Amino acid sequence: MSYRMQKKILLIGFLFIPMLLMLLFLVWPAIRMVFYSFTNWDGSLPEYKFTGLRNYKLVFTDSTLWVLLKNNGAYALVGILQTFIALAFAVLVTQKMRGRGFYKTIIFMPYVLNITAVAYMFNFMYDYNEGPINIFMRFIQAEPIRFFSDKNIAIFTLVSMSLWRWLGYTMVIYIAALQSIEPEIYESSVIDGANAWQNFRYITLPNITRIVELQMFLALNGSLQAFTETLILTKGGPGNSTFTFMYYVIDNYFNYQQYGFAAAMSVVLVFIILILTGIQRKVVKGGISI
Amino acid sequence: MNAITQERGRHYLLTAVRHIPLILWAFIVMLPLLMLFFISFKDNAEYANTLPIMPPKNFLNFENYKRTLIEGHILRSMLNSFILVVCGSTLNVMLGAMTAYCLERFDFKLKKYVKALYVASAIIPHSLLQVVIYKIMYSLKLTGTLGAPIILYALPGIIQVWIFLQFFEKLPVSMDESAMIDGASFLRIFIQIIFPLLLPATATILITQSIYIYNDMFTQYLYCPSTNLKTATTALMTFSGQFATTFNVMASGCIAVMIPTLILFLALQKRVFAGLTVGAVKG
Repeated sequence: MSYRMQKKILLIGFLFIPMLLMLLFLVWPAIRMVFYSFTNWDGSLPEYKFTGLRNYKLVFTDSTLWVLLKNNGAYALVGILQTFIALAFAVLVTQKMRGRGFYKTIIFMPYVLNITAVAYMFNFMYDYNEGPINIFMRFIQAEPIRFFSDKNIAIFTLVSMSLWRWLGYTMVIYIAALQSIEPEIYESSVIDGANAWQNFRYITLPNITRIVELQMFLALNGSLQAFTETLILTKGGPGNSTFTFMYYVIDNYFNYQQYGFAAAMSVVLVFIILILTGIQRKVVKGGISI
Repeated sequence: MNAITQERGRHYLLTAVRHIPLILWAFIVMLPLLMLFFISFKDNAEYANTLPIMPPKNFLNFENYKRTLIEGHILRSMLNSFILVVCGSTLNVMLGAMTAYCLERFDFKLKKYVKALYVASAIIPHSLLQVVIYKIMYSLKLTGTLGAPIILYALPGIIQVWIFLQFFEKLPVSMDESAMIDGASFLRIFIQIIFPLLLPATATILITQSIYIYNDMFTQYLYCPSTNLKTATTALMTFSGQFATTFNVMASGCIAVMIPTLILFLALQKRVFAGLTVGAVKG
């Protein structure tokens, strides 16, 4: 068989399945989602009507929107904070010091642990009656904290789990970035009499700025998509105080059969993420591209 | 003399300043896990009467584990997770290697569209599409089977393809060409020459993908709601209602579910780190 012919058969054979899956489970759903966002479909009945922009109007006038903004904002804020703590840790761990491998392993570990198991672990840690933190609070004669039932605290309880889980991951990425800087640069700067701070300020920082920026965008992006902790532990409660964008979409679809509304909300969220990603690609060159 | 002690004191202070934040966070990471571990060995009375931080009287008290793993069917659920991990990550890595081979070694008309699809898949959050994907899975009669999550896990993402492409750079095209002179077909070149050389990348992707699949909650929660299809991740969720009042029993379930990926990570740390950082640092 000629190589021309072979090439054709191989390309079709190798790419058919991945492309079919892509079209079926990415492109088609994306198109359908936009389509349904203009209808009043409930998600199960065969008939539905076009309602134009009504769903979008509902999205932007929904009183829950502020709660979602605030909660996803909390995730974003802590996400950004996390990129800086992780950087500090990474700088410490890449110094010559005893136990750096140990620190790296331990601090990264939460990332590999099963998310549901971790959620229930924290459910216990933060328990009002039996939780170790409140046992301690009572021991020091302080007021125990209502981690899950206080409307103002609950979202931060969930955010703290996310911090616990992701800090090590971000740190490991920074460590890899720091280790990719040529050690000769430091050596020659030390010979020139630079101190540790000057080394950090004039060598380390410029070399990893791009990755810090990238991580911040990824943190923002991730914070918009947060919902796991809510789904496992609070189901949005107390009241609607721990709803996030994603959880609200899921809830509207599966519990209230508001398919059109959920679709419109999804489209809005995808747009926000697209804009963020667009800005990121403009501002920070890089990320993964093929 | 004085100057030397002063210098030494400064040195110790600096070392302490470096260690303290790390020790503190390592403590925050370990303390809840340690308590969870201790509690999982305590019976109801001991759990009620001792502080969570106290080690259990008997580390061989596996009563709680018996209740969760066997009576609570966590063990069976872990088997389902295992099926998902093996099928999902194997298919994923195969399709990923095949896609990367096509993109790296050939030029074809639709190439830029294939690439564009991968970029799009990285940007659009998959969890959002699930509501629509669920409908499609339903019409394919795949909801309520392990097939649905396996198909979704099989689809290689941009990161997997990218890791392979990075690796391809180390494999010169001249190698393919000399095999072609010997009359080897493209398929043969891929299977017998390229794929074996991609092995380090394959291993890295297999491991990170396994951890991802084992820990993924939403897909499994959506498509495998029935009791006999529960996975390690989702089994705990039903479980929490059942044993809500007795946390010591729940703790044993949590520990059991945490163990597989923990072992995988501790045994193959370097690969896990490599798999996660390769896409994030370069590029």
